[in-house]
Amino acid sequence: MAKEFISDKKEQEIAQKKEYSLFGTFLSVLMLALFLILSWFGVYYLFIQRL
Amino acid sequence: MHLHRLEKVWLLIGIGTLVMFLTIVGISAFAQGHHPPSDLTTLDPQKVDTTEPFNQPGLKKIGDNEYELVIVSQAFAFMPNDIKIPEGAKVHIIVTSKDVVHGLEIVGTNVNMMVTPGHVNSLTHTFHKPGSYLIICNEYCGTGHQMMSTKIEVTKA
Amino acid sequence: MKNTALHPNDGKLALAHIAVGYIALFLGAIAGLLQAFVRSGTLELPAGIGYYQLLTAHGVLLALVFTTFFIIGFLYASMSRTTGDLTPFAKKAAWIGFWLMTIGTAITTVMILLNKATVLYTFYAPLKASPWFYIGLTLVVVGSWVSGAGMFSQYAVWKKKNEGKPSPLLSFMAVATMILWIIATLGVAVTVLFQFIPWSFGLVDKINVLLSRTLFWYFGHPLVYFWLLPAYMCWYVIIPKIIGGKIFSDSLARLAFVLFVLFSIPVGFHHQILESGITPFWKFLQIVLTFMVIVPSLMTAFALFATFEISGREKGASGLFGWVKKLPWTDVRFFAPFMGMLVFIPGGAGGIINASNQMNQVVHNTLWVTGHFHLTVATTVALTFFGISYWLVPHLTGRTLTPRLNKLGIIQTVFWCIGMFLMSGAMHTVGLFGAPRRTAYTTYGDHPQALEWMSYQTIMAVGGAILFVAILMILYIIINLAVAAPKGTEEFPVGEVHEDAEKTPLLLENWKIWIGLSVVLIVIAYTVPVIDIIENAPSSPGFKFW
Repeated sequence: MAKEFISDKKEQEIAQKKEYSLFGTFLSVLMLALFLILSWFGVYYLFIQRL
Repeated sequence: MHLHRLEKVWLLIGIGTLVMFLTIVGISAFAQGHHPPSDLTTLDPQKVDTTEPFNQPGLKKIGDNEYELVIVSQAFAFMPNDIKIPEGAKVHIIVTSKDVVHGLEIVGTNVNMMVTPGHVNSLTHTFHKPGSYLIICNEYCGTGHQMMSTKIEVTKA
Repeated sequence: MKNTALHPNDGKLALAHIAVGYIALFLGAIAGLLQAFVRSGTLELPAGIGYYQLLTAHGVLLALVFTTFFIIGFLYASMSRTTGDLTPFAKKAAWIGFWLMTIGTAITTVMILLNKATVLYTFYAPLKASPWFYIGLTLVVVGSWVSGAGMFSQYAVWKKKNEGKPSPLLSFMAVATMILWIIATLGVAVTVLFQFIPWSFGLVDKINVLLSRTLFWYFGHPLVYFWLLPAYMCWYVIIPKIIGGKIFSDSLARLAFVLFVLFSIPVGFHHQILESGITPFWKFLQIVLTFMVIVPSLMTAFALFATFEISGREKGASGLFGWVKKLPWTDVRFFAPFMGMLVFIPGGAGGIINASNQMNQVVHNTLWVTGHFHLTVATTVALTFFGISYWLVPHLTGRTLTPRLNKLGIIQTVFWCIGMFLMSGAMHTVGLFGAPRRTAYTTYGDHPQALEWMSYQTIMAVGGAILFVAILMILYIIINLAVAAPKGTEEFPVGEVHEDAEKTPLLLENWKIWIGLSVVLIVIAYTVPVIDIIENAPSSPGFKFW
């Protein structure tokens, strides 16, 4: 039991050590979300305008 | 399953955005009455000409600047054609088909609905701006589909 | 990692499918070009050919034939590549499936060319086509089921030999795609077998129109995920190898595919938002489910950017976006699918708008919708399929992708994007102005609102012409890769997962649970409204208005 616990922790450490910064990814998907939001409200605005 | 911290944040933002969209249209539909056209009335599609109100298609005044517009669609025309209403009029549009599925679209407005034979569809629209509005069939109905149209003339008050 | 070519018999099978797909692409593209010129008022079709006939051919050949054939060919190639040579049963099933599909395609195409089925690829009742049109489509679907059986059998054999191990990712995804397809096609099979065929033969006088539409769209929405998921297979598994990186997360990729199996199907009402006979409640419920199917695509976007960023950083890139420069932009095997990914951003945005309940009133049946699916299937999926073909075809024919053909491919991709930007951009815009889709040339009696649309339809024709040139280019490349390019070994790239990645939970492969859940969601989303439709929706006689 104890042995498994130690090796799990080690795996976590290795995973964390090799975890690269994904900030460029994060900004890219945020830009994607911005596009979704802007286009959606654009058409929503048209709908409201035409009511 | 292990999710990178930034992926967790991203999914929160993404799902939050989708929930925001659904909430906005949900409130607009269920609390403010802006449902998409979903009439549940049915009739015999082969007896349209003898079924009320379609036995008398046309514009009928039902109140102060309020009208009922009963339309019968068939390949390839809308009946009535050339409708005139005053600016600011609130119009309850009621439509059915005598044959195949048609679409009823008033160009430049939110009036857009499917017209299925055997069913009635309906939508209420207020014409705030004067002008000539094209009504077209926007669902393929045969070789004359591109000719299927009529007009609403919204006259200045 | 084994990099030898597929067993030649498996290769022949995949090639046969791909060949039929590209023939259909060519014919469908010719129809599209003519349509664009008719709508811009610059062409009057020669006697005998109808606009709506062309449109029917365009939809069937591109959205049903090109896609289905390419996909099944690619899926079989992927399974052979990752689970080993196809078993005799799988091979037999695949060939029977291929021939059923091809014969069915031929019958349906002949009916369309004979003007006996000018009903468009959605064949809405009560427009009534020749029964052979429906029979042809039935053979295509049944053929695909037989092919599916072959893939499931191949998968089951591998699972038995490798108990306790997660299946190879590409094969897992192929199986998920076919599971989705089988569940989805049940709907269209029911309406075609029990409604359309007896009715078109005259055995039954009338047809329940709303029921037929509902069953069609039960199928019609997951159909687009049947197209998208193979593109996702390329993005998740093949692209990482091409860019010299690793698969971002095996488990999350599988999870995304499981979510697609669950949420792609109980959502057909978002294609019926403006119809009578379905209550706002049930429409909105299916719209909420539709929004849930967006989530795996959001996961995919993150996973792909992450794959790019990590591979770039491992190559020494620094800063927020230094990894962009490290991507192999001059490799068409990457560039074409990447442009597909990029275009999915406006494509997906449009999809969300289309499904947003009453907002659909702004865009339904206008050219906006046409613009939308020319981004999603005709760019995202098509460019990714082209991107796959650049290495898959030579891999199967024992030839190589030469630098010259690679360069031509880059140019082809650029032409495609420019043509599509013009055509789809104009379609989206003029659609917002109310211009209808599926409509031949008209100015509605020179009505001012309709005259406003003309300049956009001209831009559509320009875009369409550029796209057609791009079609000729891809056909030239594919034919070259098939029969003329220099002999050699072209890699079938399959990505690997990071060494320290977490173990993939086998739960994700417990298909009983996922199929079960999918069925539960379908029952929840459809039972009440469908029973209501069966009991109360009127039936109608047939019409032939062409």
